[in-house]
Formats: sequence, structure tokens, C-alpha cells
Amino acid sequence: MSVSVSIENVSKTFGVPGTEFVAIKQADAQIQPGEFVSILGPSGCGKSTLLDMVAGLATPSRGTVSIHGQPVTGPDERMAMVFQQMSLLPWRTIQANVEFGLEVRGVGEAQRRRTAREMIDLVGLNGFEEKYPSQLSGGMNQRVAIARALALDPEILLMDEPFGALDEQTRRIMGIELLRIWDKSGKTIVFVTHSISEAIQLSDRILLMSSRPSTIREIIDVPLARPRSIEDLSSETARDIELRVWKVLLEETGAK
Amino acid sequence: MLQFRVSPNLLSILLIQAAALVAAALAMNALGGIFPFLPGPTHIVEEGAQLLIRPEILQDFGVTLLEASFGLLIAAGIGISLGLVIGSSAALVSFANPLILALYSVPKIVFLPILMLIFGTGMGPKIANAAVHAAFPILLNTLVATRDTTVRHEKLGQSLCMTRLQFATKILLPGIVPPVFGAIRLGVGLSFMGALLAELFQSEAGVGHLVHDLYNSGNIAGMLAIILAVLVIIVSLNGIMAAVENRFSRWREI
Amino acid sequence: MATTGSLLAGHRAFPRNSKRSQKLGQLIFVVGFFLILELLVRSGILNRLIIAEPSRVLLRLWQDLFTQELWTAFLVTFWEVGVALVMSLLVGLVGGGLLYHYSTVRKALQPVLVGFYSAPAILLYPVFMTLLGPNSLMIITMATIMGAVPISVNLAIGFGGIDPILLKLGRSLNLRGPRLMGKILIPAATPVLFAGFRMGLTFALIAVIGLEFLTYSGGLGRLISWRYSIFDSEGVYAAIAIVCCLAMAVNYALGVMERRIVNRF
Ligand SMILES: Nc1ncnc2c1ncn2[C@@H]1O[C@H](COP(=O)(O)OP(=O)(O)OP(=O)(O)O)[C@@H](O)[C@H]1O
Ligand SMILES: [Mg+2]
Repeated sequence: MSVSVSIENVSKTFGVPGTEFVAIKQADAQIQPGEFVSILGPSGCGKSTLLDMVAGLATPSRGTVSIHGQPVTGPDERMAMVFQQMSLLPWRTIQANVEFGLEVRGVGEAQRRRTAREMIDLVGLNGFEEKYPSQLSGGMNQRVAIARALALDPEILLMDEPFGALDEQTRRIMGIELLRIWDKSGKTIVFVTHSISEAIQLSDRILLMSSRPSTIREIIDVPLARPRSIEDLSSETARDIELRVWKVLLEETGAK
Repeated sequence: MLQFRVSPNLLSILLIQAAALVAAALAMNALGGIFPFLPGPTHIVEEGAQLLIRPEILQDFGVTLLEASFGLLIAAGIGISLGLVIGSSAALVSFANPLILALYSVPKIVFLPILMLIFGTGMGPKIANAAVHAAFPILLNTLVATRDTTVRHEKLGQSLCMTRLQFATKILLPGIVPPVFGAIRLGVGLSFMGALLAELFQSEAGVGHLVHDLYNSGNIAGMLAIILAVLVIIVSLNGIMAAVENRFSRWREI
Repeated sequence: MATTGSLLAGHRAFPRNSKRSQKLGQLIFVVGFFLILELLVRSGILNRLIIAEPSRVLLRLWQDLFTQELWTAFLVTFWEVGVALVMSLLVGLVGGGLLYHYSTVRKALQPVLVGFYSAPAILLYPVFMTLLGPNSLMIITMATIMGAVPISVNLAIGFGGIDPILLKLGRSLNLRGPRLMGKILIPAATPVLFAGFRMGLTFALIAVIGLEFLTYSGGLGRLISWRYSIFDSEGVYAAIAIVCCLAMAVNYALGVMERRIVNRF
């Protein structure tokens, strides 16, 4: 089977020659189709930058990112992205926001209404269809952004701290929902997070990044059976992984 | 901010500016071909060089400068104090704002006859006209900024148990400085416009009078030189004030 | 520069439609103001040669409504403002799009453009008088230029000030050119855009009325200066009132249009 996302020998430098700023020094990773991979690392280490390069929103300074063997040259219909920042269109209702991607891709009105409703339902925002983003909480808005990406039914879903604005409980529940969708659809998911327990709850593998100028320091397998119960998540294996990640992160941020 | 290293980008900006100047000069030359009475760029510069060293002409510039400055001072005084008073109350704002906005859209020059009726001749109506022109943006900006800052930081002030005076000096005034300064900068151009329009209509002294005279005596090159000089003065004043503004409100990145 | 944009965009933060009681209060305030003025003039505290009584101005206004002089002047001004507004909208939209697209050109011309619309560009009128003569064509040309500059500058500012994450969203969906314009750029920039239209309108009005006034060529501006020159002070006040009404009406119409369009998105 071909590799879904391949990151080879990638580095990213910002700024003009003379005053360069190395964000990512060296990154290599292979992500299999249907895999759920998390990216974890200290703040500002280049997680969003790496995800942008996969999405075709930024070009690597060196190396290549490829999807099924073809180098990424720009945004691709096979991928959809959930951004870290609030990215809803403030002048559109929730319904119209979720429909936005479909509308842009030329999906017919009836079809897109239906899909959008389903997705709104899925993220638990029934009854908010005609509200505007400014009338919803931060967490609710983030769920709308997830619904917008899911509505596109991408093969590869790129998510940049999608649950960052949510509280612990909602985060867990959304995680379970996401796993359900993932399980049913067989999507490949690349998921940036700063929560170690979330990474363990969700992923097959964790890409652990070092601090800037960053590398992918370790790739950690999460060999927990699925579906993962609360018990699984506090098992010996889970705690070992958590400990290992903590050690690396503390070392990277210079704490003891 | 205050570094003057020439980056490639700055270089291309300067190049485009130079190109625009040349294009403007060429355009004037071309227009001169169509309209024979339009003087060429060199003629304008020569005429300007002769005029701008004459003391009586410098005096005209002084008169206009004086009128515009006085007008701006009055406009700022009235605009800022009225803006603070109205802006401090939500009810007053929603009451007064529609009235102010309605007046804002009226071309202020229509009030010139009234000002001439009230202040007669001389500098009075010119200063008043300058003030009327500059006052509205200052009033509006102060009002909007006062309201915005108050609403945005009200809870912070309450949570820290600030007194009204503390709130005013520590939050409100620093908060409104950048937009008010911006409005005063806008007011510079407007107060000049007010003074000059009054001088053009009631032609007694000042640059407006000078332009009027040169036009009537058919010295088009001289008139153009004077107008360009005025525009250069105003654009430079505007540029200087914008630089000062940037220097002091770096936190206000947009 | 940003201040001008945010100044006018900021107005949106305040309700334009006030409550009925408030409208009544505003009416009472305005009527009260004129009543007091009336009393002050009648009692001789204010000189009647300087300030005409509001009642006499009102009467004059009524009489004026039946004269051809007023209607001709009104139509001339209306025509000039209308043509100039449409033209400056067209020129401004194209100019703003170009300025936004070529950011280096924008940076290069910024000081001149901003200086231009904060500066009394109207001062250039003798140049246009020499070129075109004191007529409607000259007035429309100048008003178009004066109106187009703030529109294009605000458009460029508005596009430039759009939250970068929205542009990134557009890019991730492969939106380009006109579709990016229609789906993201224009809706996101609408408030600033309308602030620009409003400024363009204000400047075009200044140019039209101001030039009519100064050059005694046609329209309501000339009516004011003509009446002033024959010491017809009631007439001056009546004509001023008409200009005020015209300006407010056009401004109001723009406001209604803005709300319609914003509700579309
Ligand atoms: N467009 C840019 N120009 C210059 N530097 C940038 C740019 N984008 C990101 N950087 C720099 O690259 C580094 C990595 O940024 P990035 O946003 O990828 O971090 P991150 O790991 O996502 O951080 P966080 O966890 O806080 O979201 C940061 O130091 C940032 O300052
Ligand atoms: Mg990030």
C-alpha cells in the first residue's frame, strides 16, 4: 500500500537571506493511509508550519512533502484543514459557514444543505444553524470549523489544535466523536495538539517535535487497542507513554 | 521602526516614486501640447523659484499658516472636549451621533457665508472656516474612541476598584490618544483647506488671495508653482505627523 | 491612515436606528434650537442682518420651491454629484483593486494618496479651470478625482486589513481571482469599503458645491454665493438649508444601501 503523507528531508526557513529564521531544521515522517497521527511539541516549535506544508499552504525551504507519492504543490481537494485560529466567516450563519467549502467546490444547493445539517448535528450544534459566529462561544465556533472541514469529506484531514478552545469534558467527547468518524470513514488524520493525554487517546502514532530549530525527535507508537476505554487510557502502557513524552518535552523546554 | 537601512523593497518603492514623478512631468508636457496655455514643468519651477523668495509672498504663506493653525487649535479644543463629554455616556452618544453624522456629510463650505456675515472681513472668517472644516473628524474620533475605550475596559476598571479619575487618567486618556492624534493629523489638511477656500472667496490676503491674483493676471506657471508648494507643505506636515504617530503607538499594530 | 478607516468603520458600532423616544428627543432638540435662535433674533440680542430668523428662512424656502431658479440649480448640482459619484465609484474600485494587488505600488504612492485626500486637493481647481473652463465638465472631473482617491485608498486598506486566516482558508479551498473577491475579500471588507464610499461622497460633494460656490458656475453652490453677493441673507440661509438636506439625503440613501448589501451576505 502506498504511503498517504510522506515528509522527506523537510526544513523551513522564514525571512530573507541575511536575517534568516530557522523554524524547522529537519523533519522526516511517513503516514500510512487510514492512520491517525498526532504532532506534539513545545509551543512555537513549528507544528502549524509543518501542517501548512502538508496542506500546500506553505512550501518547504528544502525537501518535499508528497501525497501518495505526488509532491504537494498547492492546496488539494483530497485534504481539508481545521485552523488553529478562529476562521469562520463572521458575515455567514453557522449553516452557511459549514456549507462554504461545498459551495466553493460547486456542490448543488440541496445536497450541501443536507450535508451541512448532518455535520452540524454531528458536532452537536442543532438549533444554532441560523445564528452567527459572534453569537456562539469559542468552543462552539471551533466545532463549526470542524464541521466545515468534515463536510468536504476529505481523504486526509489536517487539524491544527482543533479542540484547543474546548473544555476538558467536551474535548474528550469530541475526541470520541472524531474517532467514530475516523473509524467509519477510514480517513487519514494528522492532528496537532499540545495535550499529551489527547494525543494518547486519539493516535496510532505520536510525532514528537523538539524545540526550535526543530526536528522530529521521536515517533512514538501508541499500542492501545481500539476503541479505547477510560481504563485503557489509564493503563500501565498509557502511563508509560505519557511519562516518556513528558520527559522529552521537559528536556526540550529546558525544565528539569 | 526608525532604522533607515535600504532594503530591496524600499529601493523598489523609491524607484516607483521616482518613476511616478517623471511620469507626472511627462504628462504635464503632453498636456501642454494639447492645451498651449499650460506651462511646462521647467517653466513652473523657474517661476516658483522667483516667486518663493519674495518677502510679500512669504508673508502670504505666513498669513495662511497662522489662520490654519489657529483654526486647528480651536477645532481641537472644541472637538476633543465635546467628544469626551458626549462619549462618556452611552445615552448621549446614541442621542448625538446621528445629528453629528448628518452634519458631517454636509460640505462645510456652505457655512462660509454665515461665517463672513458674523466675522466680517480679515482673518476672522478664515480662522472660523478652518475650525469648522477641521472640527468634525476630531469630534467624531474623540467620541468614538472615548466610547470604545470605556466599553472595552469598563470591567477591568471595576474589578480593580478604580476611581473615575484613575480610570480617566490611566485607561481612557492613553487609550484615546492614537485615534485623536490621527484625527488632528487629518485636521491639518482640512484646516488649510478651510483657510484657503475662505481666502479664495474673500480675496484679501494669504495664499488663496495670491493664487487668485496670479490666476487673474494670467501667470499660470506662477499659480501652479504656489499650489504645488502648498500641497508639498501639507503632504509633508501629514507625513511628519504620521511618523510621530507611528513612533508613539507601536502597540497599536493592526 | 488606519485611523480614517477605523474612524468611519467605527460608526457601525453605534446604532444608527435609534429608538422612537430618542428620535422624538432629537426632534425636540433641533426644533428647540431653532426656536431659541428665533427668540434671540426677535429680541434683538442677535443681529437680524447676520442671522436671519428661522421662521423667515422657512417662509423663503417655501417661496423658493415655486421658483425655477431653485429647481434649475438643484438639478444642475444633483446631476453633477450623481455623475461624479458613479464615475468615482468606478475609478475608485478599479484603482483600489490595483493598489491592493500591487502592494509595492501601494507603498510607493501611499504618502501621496493619503496626503492628497487629507490635503486640500480642491486647491488644484484653478488648474482645471485653465484646462476645461468654469463649467460642469470641470466640476465633474475634479469631483470624480476627489471622490475616487478615498474610495480606492479605503478599498486597499480594507482588503489589506482582512484577517489573514480568512485568506488562508480561501487558499486552502483553492479560491482565486474573482471568486476570492466575491466570497471572501468583498464581504470581509464591506464596512471599510462603505466607509470609503461615504468619504468619497463627502469629498465629491465638497468639490461640487465648493467649486460652484467659488467659480459662480451653475448649481446650488452658485446660488449661495450669488445671494450672498446681493446681500440676500434669508436667501443664503434658505439655499444652505437645501444643500444640507441634499447632503443628508444622499448620505442616508448610502446608509440604506449599505444595510441592504450587508444583510445579503
Ligand atoms: N509567516 C511567518 N514568518 C516568520 N516566522 C514565522 C511565520 N510563521 C511562523 N513563524 C515562526 O515559526 C515558528 C513556528 O511557528 P508555528 O506557528 O508553526 O508554531 P507552533 O508549533 O504551531 O506553535 P503553537 O503551539 O504556539 O501553535 C515560530 O517561532 C514563529 O515565530
Ligand atoms: Mg500552532
